[in-house]
This record gives sequence, structure tokens and C-alpha cells, in this order.
Amino acid sequence: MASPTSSSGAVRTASRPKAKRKTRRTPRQIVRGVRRRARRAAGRVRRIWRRSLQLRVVTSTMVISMIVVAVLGTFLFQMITTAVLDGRVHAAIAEAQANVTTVTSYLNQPQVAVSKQSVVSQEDNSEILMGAPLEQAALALAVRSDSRYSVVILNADEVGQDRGTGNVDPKSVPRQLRDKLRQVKDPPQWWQYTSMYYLHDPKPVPALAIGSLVSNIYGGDYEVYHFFPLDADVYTLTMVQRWLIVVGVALVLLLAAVASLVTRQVVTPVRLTRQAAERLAAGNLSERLRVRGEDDLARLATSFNEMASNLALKIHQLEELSQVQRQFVSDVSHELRTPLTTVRMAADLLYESREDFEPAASRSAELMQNQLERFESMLADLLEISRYDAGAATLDIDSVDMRDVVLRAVGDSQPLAERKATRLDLRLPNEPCMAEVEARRVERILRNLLFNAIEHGEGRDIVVTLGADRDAVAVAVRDHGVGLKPGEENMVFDRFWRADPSRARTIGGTGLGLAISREDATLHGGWLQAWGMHGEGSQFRLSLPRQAGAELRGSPLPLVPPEIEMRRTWRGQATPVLSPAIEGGFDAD
Amino acid sequence: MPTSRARRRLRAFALAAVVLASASCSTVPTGGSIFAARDTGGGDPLSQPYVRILAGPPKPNGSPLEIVVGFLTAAASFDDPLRTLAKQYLTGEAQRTWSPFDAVTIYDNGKPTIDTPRDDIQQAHVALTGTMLGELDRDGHYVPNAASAGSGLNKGFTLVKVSGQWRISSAPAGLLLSNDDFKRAYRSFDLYFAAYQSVGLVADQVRVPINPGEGLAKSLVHRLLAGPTTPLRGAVESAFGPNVDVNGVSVEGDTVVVDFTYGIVDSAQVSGYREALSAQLSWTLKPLTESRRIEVRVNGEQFPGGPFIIDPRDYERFDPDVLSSQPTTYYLQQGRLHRIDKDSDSPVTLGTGGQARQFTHLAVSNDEPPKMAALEKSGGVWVTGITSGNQWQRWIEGPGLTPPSWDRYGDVWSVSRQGPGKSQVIRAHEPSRQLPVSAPELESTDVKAFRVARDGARVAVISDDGRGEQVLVGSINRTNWVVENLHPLVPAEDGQRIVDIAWRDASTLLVLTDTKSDRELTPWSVTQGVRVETAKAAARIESITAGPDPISLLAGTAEGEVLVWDPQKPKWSTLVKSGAGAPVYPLG
Repeated sequence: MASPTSSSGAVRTASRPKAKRKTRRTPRQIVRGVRRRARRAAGRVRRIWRRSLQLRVVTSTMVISMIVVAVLGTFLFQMITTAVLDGRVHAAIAEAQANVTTVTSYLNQPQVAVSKQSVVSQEDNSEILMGAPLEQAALALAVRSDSRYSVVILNADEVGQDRGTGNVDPKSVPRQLRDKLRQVKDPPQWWQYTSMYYLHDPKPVPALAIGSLVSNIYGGDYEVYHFFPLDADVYTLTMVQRWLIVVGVALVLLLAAVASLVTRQVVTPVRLTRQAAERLAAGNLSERLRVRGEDDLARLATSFNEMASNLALKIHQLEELSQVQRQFVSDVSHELRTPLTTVRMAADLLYESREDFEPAASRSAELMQNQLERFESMLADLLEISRYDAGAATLDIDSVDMRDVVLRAVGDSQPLAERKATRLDLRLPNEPCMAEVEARRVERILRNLLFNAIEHGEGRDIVVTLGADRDAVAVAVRDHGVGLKPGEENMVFDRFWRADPSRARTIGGTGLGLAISREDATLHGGWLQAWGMHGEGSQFRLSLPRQAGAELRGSPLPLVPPEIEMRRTWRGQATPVLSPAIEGGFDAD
Repeated sequence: MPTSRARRRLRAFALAAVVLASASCSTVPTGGSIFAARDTGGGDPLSQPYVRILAGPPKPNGSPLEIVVGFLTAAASFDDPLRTLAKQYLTGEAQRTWSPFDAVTIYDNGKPTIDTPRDDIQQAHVALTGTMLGELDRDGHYVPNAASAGSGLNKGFTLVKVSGQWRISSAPAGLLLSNDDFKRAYRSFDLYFAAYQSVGLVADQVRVPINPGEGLAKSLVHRLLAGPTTPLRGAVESAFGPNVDVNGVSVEGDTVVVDFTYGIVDSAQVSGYREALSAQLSWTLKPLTESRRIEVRVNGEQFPGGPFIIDPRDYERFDPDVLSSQPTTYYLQQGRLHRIDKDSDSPVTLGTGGQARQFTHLAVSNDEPPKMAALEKSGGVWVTGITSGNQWQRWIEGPGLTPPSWDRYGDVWSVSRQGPGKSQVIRAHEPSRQLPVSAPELESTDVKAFRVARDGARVAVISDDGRGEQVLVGSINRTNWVVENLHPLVPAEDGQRIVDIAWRDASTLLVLTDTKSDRELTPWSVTQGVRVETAKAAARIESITAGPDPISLLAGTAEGEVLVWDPQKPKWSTLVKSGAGAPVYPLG
């Protein structure tokens, strides 16, 4: 869509359309395409988000539970870490303290010559007898520690007095701890977390270092450092952390699933109710919901069902009422006809012998004749319209040339126009405009329109235009009378509607003409529309499909007269009231 | 009524909630089943706790004494077998000449003293004086200092100033270790090698240096592969071929995995060697592995042709002590063989050919049924079986024969004194077919007793080369039939007489000495060359026989009594009142 390749070009270079497409695509277009796609995707997501209550509930539950689980998990982990390490530190300090006591007692024992004459047998390795107090102390600590922890003994004053147990690397001794221990001698024990190292292993091990100062009465202070490796604790804590994360994730997912389930239980009945309401609105009054249980949703369904049945009942009643009324009108019309015929015959008799009457009676006879004619035509119209209401009207379709129809209608209106000194201006196409219509009804519509135009035209010209295109034909009748007030475009088709109730009906209109005309147009599948503007006159347009039964998509003629439209375009402002009519009018253009 | 029921139900529910909550609060159980408490402690189970010297570089502006002490400390530090740190104390010239592998000297009560009182000159001498204890030879075998060589230690160091700092320009060769250093840096282990024809194992003792980078078990296996120490060389064989090396020793659950190079496959293919090397490995590693099983792997992979797993219990019969349960004790009484029954105190007379010969100095073989050997008064070693009908047969004849001694291969050994200061070792496996055995170091001495150890590889000899009686310990090279590697265990002293010797176990020899004042019984470690325990008083006792613990120690007196040592009291108690000859256990 981003590359407007001309169809001819694509055909000519059909062998390499892709390459061509590629060369035609500029980076800006690509960016625009990507942006458009992103926008569309965002729009889709937003639409889903706005439409799905379930998604919103589940998402918010997840977000909130995630925050809660994260906060709680962090707190819990801190607590566990503190507890584990505190216990470890206490035990380690106690052990170091005991060891320091041992070392002190060894170092400060009286130095007697403990030399044995020979190296005695070393059958049992655990009973190695050392000579020097320091060696005894170091060996005692080595045996006691037994790879659980490591001890480093340092003496800064004397050469060759440094000892270590196991594989501990002397670089494990933290410099800060050593400085602190030697500067601040009270208390003589300090500890810190550090990394310890083993010989031949460059990998540091997290450890707890406890430094103690042992004073020696024979000179020189010994520093005893205990290193308790914390790798087991680190492993424990890592496992705890991993489990906390797993449990947290499981909890969040569980909560989301619960939320999803709960909302599903609520949303599904709501959705069913919505669908039922839609079907109800579409006219399916028998639509009912299934009621399950006794909860709020069940009560909603019950209320909905009650509402629907009440509605159906009311509509049924109204339909019946309207049926009764229509029947009544129809019956009244029929019933009135028989006495009217009699009255008419009597009146005709009176009218024909009016010359014999005195002038006043003659005038009365003429008046009665006129009003009886009007009454008759009104009755005929009422019958006609009641046929429409009853749905009994049928079309007698025939292919006719619309020009003949227009000419016949104009011919019928000619006497009235002459009487009103109105000139009828005909604008007919040269070629025949064939359409499948019932000529009688279309003629009646046009007649009605022309009579109406002549009546409200105030003697000015009336323009009758016939237009046609492939699918439709249209006839527009334009007058230049007072026009219509805003909002009257549709009211003109109402039964017995009158623009100015004070004005008298001069040409004896029944007030049903336009209503019947509209019913006729609708019966053909066409439109009958009105346009009018105060002081500019009005225009009525009849649009009909050329083929009976075809759907009408547009009209060949504009509803608003072209000169009005042009003037409005010049002013650059639209009449808001007219815009729907304009849209409809120009659909076919 | 309904409200009260509801309230009751509510109360029950609240109670249940409280119980549940309190139950979940107590996280540590206060009761329950009982579990066995096993040591699950971490660390290397094959290792033993040890202390290391943390040596440092030379102290800046250190005095000559401090430099020498620092050097000795650095040399005693076993972190680095090459002693790179110790070499920093030496001048460039001395670094080239000094090597830690030259010798290991062990001293005690060492005291460095400076000869040069003035500091301003460019050379200083420091002397290390003390008591010399012994040396460690290149095999890792500890040799105690011979008393005759003098026990004083005096080693001199020369120091010069190198760019303002004192450095040692000449140091005694090799390592100088104090007794503490030596104990710290070495661990004593018994190595086991196959005796001749792989019939059993022979114990050998070495000092294995601790190497933190290697692990004790690997060092030990490494040392085992290197072969026996000098005193046993030629007398024993190792089932491991010359091209075997160990890659590592690790623990996997209840199994100790020993990973060898491919040479082990070749070694195990030699007939009988697979069993012998299994026994060697299992016995040597026993102090570290305890009762764990041992799996042999080749370069980290399974032994070709199925897992090679050694269960130590399968190799208990290779015990170098040979005797395990309480053996039968025999003695001669008026020319007849008697047996001391364990249950009843009365001796049981065994029927043997009651010829009118005067037999003394009985020896019992370990065969089943056992053979008896004895010295006839007129000379000659006679042998008989224990069952009735067996006759005494003369196996060895010659002048001045020593009491006979059986070895585990069924040979009878004796030494013939062919004149003053002239001895010949003789062995015999059959009647009247005696074979002379060469023993160059004994030929020109007077041999009073010749005892083959129960493992069949070692011998103990009482000999007198003119300077007095001494106890020599050597080994039998059965390939060339030579008694060799003889070295003194109990040196000759003025006025000291060696009355009798007896093997207690594979590495302990009991020596009965008689001085002017006293007669005492002392156990000596053959492998270490030192006294194991203090001496027991042993008045009146003329002969002894012993076995490994818990076999009791027996002694015979000149009055014909048989005494037994009661270690609980501790004193001798009488077993046979009178008339008995010297009691003997099989072999030894």
C-alpha cells in the first residue's frame, strides 16, 4: 500500500516486480509503514483492552499481586538472610572465643622443656605431640576445626611464627580487619564479612572473618583469625531465593487464573445478556435468557426476561391498537362511500339544475359540488393510504419511458399552471429514459409534486428536470416560492401537515398527497426527498431504480439546486441542516 | 435456641482455627522418630587436619638471626615443594647450589646463635646448634640418628649484605627441620608390598610429605607407586608396573575412586598381579579410606572390561601379621610336644615319636597340620609332623646351629657357626636337603639367633661382630637367595646381652636384653628403628614368643615356667608351673 505502483508498469515488468518495488520504497516510506503498522497494532490492542472486561480485571490483578508478592518476597528474603547469618555469626563467634581461650592457655603455659629424646612412633596420627606451645595450639585448632573453618595465626613481631590450618591462603586476612585489630585492642575481637581464598584455587569463597588478639606473656601479640566459609549458607540462601521466586510466580499466576475464572463467571452471563438485548433490539421479541440459580446474575436474567416480555406485550398491544385504528379508518372510508354516492347523485342532480335556482342556492349547489368532489378525493386518498397501511398495495410494473410520464403529468398540471400564471420549464434528456415502474403511480407522484409547486410557487417559474444514469432515474421539481423552514423537509411528508395552518387550501389538496407520494416512491424502492430554504423556494426530488427490485444507491440529480450549492461554496460555509441531504444527493457523483 | 447453636458453632470454628495456627507456628518438632547420627561433615574425608607454616619473604632490614630463622621457617613450609620462598633468603649464588631435595635433617632444641657481634661488617656467621635426631632418606624412610655418630647438631650459615639486606650466601645442604617442623610436614604411613610369589603383604613405613595442592591420599598412592624403601628392596615386589601414575583420588559416596594412568591396565594383566595390587592399594589406603570400597579407574573412565572395585574385606587374608586369631601354643616337656589349650589350663600331650633324643628350641610352622622343628642336643635340626605316626627327620645338620625358624613358605632356617666369627645361613625345605644362603654381612660374625618374620621378607638376627651383641634387621631376597640390607636395630652396648628376640607383628620385634642391673623386654619398631613402648621388667625370663594384638605375650623361664603377660594389671602371671620348655607360636 506504501508503493503506488502503476498497474501498467507492473504488467510490463512482471518478471521483476519485487525488485522494482524494493527500489521504489524509500526509508521514509518504510518508517511510515512501520509506524502505521505499529499504530494499527496499538489500536487493535486498545480496542481489545477497551472491549474485554476480563482482560482488564486479570491484568490489574496480576499487576497488583506482582507488586505485593515482590514486596513480601523481598521482605521475607531479608528476614531469612538475617536470621541465617545471625545464627551463623553467633555460633562462629562463640567457637572463635573458645578457640582463643585454648590458644591463650597454650601460649601462656610455663615453658618447660618438653623435648622427648626421640621421634616416637606415629602410629596414630591424631596423637601427634608437638613441642612448642604455638605448634600445640595450632595443631589443636586444626584438629578442632576439621575443615569446617580455617584458622590463621599471625605474629607481626617475631619471624617464623605464622601458622595456618588446612589450605587457607594467608591473603584471606582482610587488611582493614588487621589494622582495626592492632589499633583498637579493646575489645580484642572483631569480625567482618569477607572473601577467603584457598591455596591453588583462585576462586574467592564468601566467608566470615573473626580476628582476635592473644597477648602472650613471653613477648609478641598473636593475631588469631578464624575464617568460617559461608558457601553452604550462600547455597541455602540461593535455594531459598529461587524457591521464593518460583512460589511468587506461581502465586501471581494462580491469582490471575482465579481472577480470570471469577470474571469469566460474571462476564459470560453479562455477555449473553448483551447478545440477547441486541437481538431484542433487532426485533426478535421472543428472545429470552436462561435463568440458572438464584444469584444476582440470575436475577438480572429474570428482570431482563420480564422486561422483554413486557415490551413484547406493549408492542403487541400498540400494534393491535394501530391495526384497529387503520381498520377503523378503512371501514369509515368504505362506510362513508355508500351514503356519499347517494349524496353525490343528489348533489349532481342539484348541480345540473342550478340554473333554475336563485343565485344564492345556485352558489350553494356549486359549493356543495366542489366540496363533495374534495370529500370524494379525500376519501379516495384515505382508502389509498389505508391500503398502504394494511400492506395491500401492489405494483403493476411496466417498462415505460419516463419522459412520457413526465409529459403526461405536466400536461395534467398545465390547466392549473395557466390558472396560476405559472410557467413550467421542462428539462428533459433527448434519449429515452426507460424504467420499470408503474406509470400510474409515478404520474400521481409527479402530479402531486407539480400541484404542490404550483400552489406554493407564487406564480414564479417551476423547473421540472429529468435525469438518468446507469442504475437510476430522477425527477426534480423546483419552485421559487417561500421555501421551507429548517426541519420542514421531512415534515412535509406527514399526513395532513400544513406549512402555515392559517393558509387556506386553494387547489383543494387533501393533505395526504405527499404522504401517498412517499409511500408510492417507497413501494418502488425509490426515494422522495425535499429541500427548501426560506426565500429560496424548494425542490422535491424523486429517485427511482431503473430495474424493479434493485437497490437504489444514489440519485442522478442533486437534491440541492446547483445554483444554491455554488453560492454556498463561494461563501465557504455549509448549512448544517442540509448536509445529510447533500451527502445523499451527491452519492452517485 | 438457634442463636446459641450458631454461637457454639462459631466458638468451635474459632478454636479449630487457633489450634491450626499454633500447630503451624511450631516449625521445629519436639519429638518423633530417632535417627542415626552419622558424620556428614564436609571437607575431604581422605584428608587429615594439618597445620601449615605461613612463610613470608625476608623481613626488610632484618638482622642476620631473623634472616636465618625466616629461612628455616620458609624451608619448613611445605606449600611449595620447590621452596621458592626460601630461596629468596639466599644470595644468587646460593640459590643455584642449594636444593631442598638434597637431604632432610631433623633436629631438636635448635638454637641459632650469631658469631659476629658487630653489625657493620659485610659478613656474618650464624650457627644452629641442637640435638640431631635423624635423617629422612630419599625414599621417605626415616633413619634415626645412630648413637655412635654423635647426637650434636652444628650447622653454620654465612650471611652477606646484598644491596643493604642480609642474605645467606652459604647454607647447609637440604632441609633442616626441627622436630615440630618434621611432625607438621610429614605423615607416617605404612606402605604394603607383595611378598615373594604374592602370598601376602609386607609392611614398609615411609613419611609422606603433606602437599596441599595434591591431597594426602594422592601423595600416598604416589609414594606407593614409587616402590619399597631401601631396607626392603629386593625382598618384596610391587604389583604396579613402572609406567603407572596416579591422576587423583576422590570420594564418591561410599567409594574411593583412584584414577590411574593407562599403565595400570598392563600391570593388572600380569597373572596374580591384579589381586596383589588390589591388596596393596586396599591395605595402604586403609588409614584414610577406612572401610570404604575402592574403585580403580583409568584416566577417569571405567576400568576396561568391567568396573574394578576393591572391597577391603576381600583382602584381609593378605595381613602381613599373618596370625590373626589366637594360635595354638606349643612347648616341649621332657622331649614330648605339649599344647596349651585355651579352655583348660592343663597341657595336652601330643603323641609323637618318643625317641630318646633331647630336643630343645621348638619352632612351629604355619601349615595345616603344622610341622614342628627343633634343635637336637647333639646338633642338627629335626622336623616332624603333628599327627601320630610322623617321625622326626633331620633336615639340617651342621656345627653350632642356631634354633630353627620357619618361614611362611615352609622353609626351615638356621645359622651354622662354623668357627669363631664365621657363620653360614642355611635353609631347608625337605629332609636332608639343606641349602646354604648367602649373607655377606653375617659371614664374619657370631650369630646367636636368626628369626624370619611372619611376612617372610624380614629377618632379625642377634649377632656379635666383636663389639658386643646387637640386633640386626634385614630382608631375604628370594630371587637371588641373599640375606641383605642388614642394619642394626638395637646397637651393641657395653655390658648388654641380648637374651632372645621374637616377632610380635610385621613391624615390631620384641627384644629381651640383659644388662648388669636388669633384664627387660622392649618392643622395637623395625620400620622406624625406634622403641615403640617403654620396656617391661622381665626378670628370670629366658625366652619369649609373641603375636599381634590381641594375642598374648608368653615367656619361658629357666625354671621351666610358662608366663603370660597380663596387660590389664600389668604383670606376668604363671600359666605352666614347671618343667616346660620355651613356649612358641607358629612362625616368628
